[in-house]
Amino acid sequence: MSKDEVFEKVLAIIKPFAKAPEALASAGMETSILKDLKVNSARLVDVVLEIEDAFGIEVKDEDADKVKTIGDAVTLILAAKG
Amino acid sequence: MVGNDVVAIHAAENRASFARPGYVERVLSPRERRVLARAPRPEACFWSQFAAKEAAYKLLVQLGELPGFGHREIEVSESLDAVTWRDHRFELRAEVRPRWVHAVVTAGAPVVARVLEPGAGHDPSGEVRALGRALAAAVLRVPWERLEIRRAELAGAWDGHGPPELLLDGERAPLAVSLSHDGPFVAAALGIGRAGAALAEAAGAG
Repeated sequence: MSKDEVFEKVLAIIKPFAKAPEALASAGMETSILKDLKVNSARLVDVVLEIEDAFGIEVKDEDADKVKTIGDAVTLILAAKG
Repeated sequence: MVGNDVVAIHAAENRASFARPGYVERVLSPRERRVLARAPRPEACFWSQFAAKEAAYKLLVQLGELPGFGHREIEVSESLDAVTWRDHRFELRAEVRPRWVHAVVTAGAPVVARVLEPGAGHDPSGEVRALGRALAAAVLRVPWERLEIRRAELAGAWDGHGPPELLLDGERAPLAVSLSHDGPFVAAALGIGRAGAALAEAAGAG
């Protein structure tokens, strides 16, 4: 799976939980999930679970902690998929 | 220092999360899950535990800690009166109502806290700041216009910002403030240390 494909899939996962439609429309690798997309902290758990299910990977808490932007999520997923 | 969190128990997103396979297990420790299994109101119980963890997280950030994504490492007591994380132990005050739960966590300081439902069409961010200012104005006995709540940028923080700070006439006020909103509810808590209590007393005597 290419980086762009992973990005699009991650964006689709986050979309239902984002409260900032304008930021979502212009989202890129540097877009902050909490700060820019205004994803609620309770929904972060949903996002992590969705990523695990969608990509067939396990996301440890210490790795989830490093995911601040969409790009961080993409990097994590690509590393986990080898 | 103080942390608080309010959760709208029956908000659609929260109901969906609670029902999601793996969600509860990702948030609660095994001991907390045993408490949940015995709860007469499971959703209220879970969101009380979650709110306590969130409130403790906010307090830990004020202490310079970065607990990160480790929900299970922040443990809530069965009686909902304490929260622990590593060698920290905080006092917890949890209020469980039919439609919301509210958790306030402190390191022992007196607290003033309030939950409100502003009504449809209101901006929760603006409303919760207004609530924080109103509470502070009442405690300090000053006009609320002299008060401001701001959040400075903080690298490494989950949302890029540090905890909220209360300013009186542009200077840091001697009260800690914590804000939260979820669904139709907003909540604010003030930690009243000795300096804050003295200032309130002086303002009342003046």
